Amino acid sequence: MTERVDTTETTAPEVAPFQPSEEWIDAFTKQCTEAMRLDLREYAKRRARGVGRAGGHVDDGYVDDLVADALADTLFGVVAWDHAAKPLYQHAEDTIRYRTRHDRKRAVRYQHKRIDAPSCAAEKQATYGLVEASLRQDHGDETTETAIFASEVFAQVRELAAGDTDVLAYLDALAVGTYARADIMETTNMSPRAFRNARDRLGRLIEQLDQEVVATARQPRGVRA
Amino acid sequence: MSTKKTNPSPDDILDEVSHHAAQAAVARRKSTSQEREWSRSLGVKLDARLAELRRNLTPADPAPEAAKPIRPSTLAMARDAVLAGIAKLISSLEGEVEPGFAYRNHKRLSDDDLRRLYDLLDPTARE
Repeated sequence: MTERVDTTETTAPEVAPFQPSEEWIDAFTKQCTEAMRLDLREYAKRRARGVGRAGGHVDDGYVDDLVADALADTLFGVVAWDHAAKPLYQHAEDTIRYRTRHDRKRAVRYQHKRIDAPSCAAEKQATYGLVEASLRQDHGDETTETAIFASEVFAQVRELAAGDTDVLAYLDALAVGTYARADIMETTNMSPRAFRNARDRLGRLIEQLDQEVVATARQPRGVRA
Repeated sequence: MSTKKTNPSPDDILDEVSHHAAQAAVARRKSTSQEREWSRSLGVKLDARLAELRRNLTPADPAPEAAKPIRPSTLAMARDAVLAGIAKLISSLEGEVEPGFAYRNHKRLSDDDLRRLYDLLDPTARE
């Protein structure tokens, strides 16, 4: 059956072309430095690895585009930046974060679409274990795969952090929804320095995890666990 | 300001872990010359768009006005009389006439162009 294409013309309301104020342009010009773009690229590179871990195709071009698109889309008004509310870096980082999260979810959702995949709900249910069934109940059918994947990765990070009490406390804080630096420090009783060190070690653990995933992906099929 | 989230989903937690790990990587970033070159190149493209946005802020040129008809009395004047009239007007209006008019090579203007210039400079009321 061919898909029906709706050819009905819709009259979208006329939108005025994006034209920011002189102050907005000045703020963008001043803040969009080479160092800021490089910081964003580093951030995007790390976030992109998460997309790759979920089965998405990522390369240097994907990383470059994440940064270039976040900034260009701001200049074209596709994403709105209130220069009085937050710095440009924060805005672009938020944009990259949102887009990589979306790409990761999409990668998880489509990586297992095999020809012999269970088609009906009951068949799908039969393939889930107890943990998966519980996640399914908690977060609904649509996000089950994403939730399972996320739980697995989180468990792997915790496993890698075994013995590092500060990183484990950091992860525990994140797991209960404590996200701000000050809140994490308060919950975990960490000094600013201990927080920075723990965050650095967490970053390295994630890097280690990414490298393991890449190494596994490079192994011949028969050797993979 | 507290940003605690109640009952975060596994995906929320993973996203937050990844975000914090990425921020840690930014804090210890070391860029390669290739990355710096990429950043400069992106900067050039963004500057072009910023220049376009700045240009759009300047008011558009006013629409050209149709020239007013030449006064009949001026139309009746011969070229030499118009040239003499213009010279007289420019000297009498010294300092008030735009240099574009005052130092124009009038010899290269057509008769009607000279008449229009004369009308433009002549402060007397139009007929």
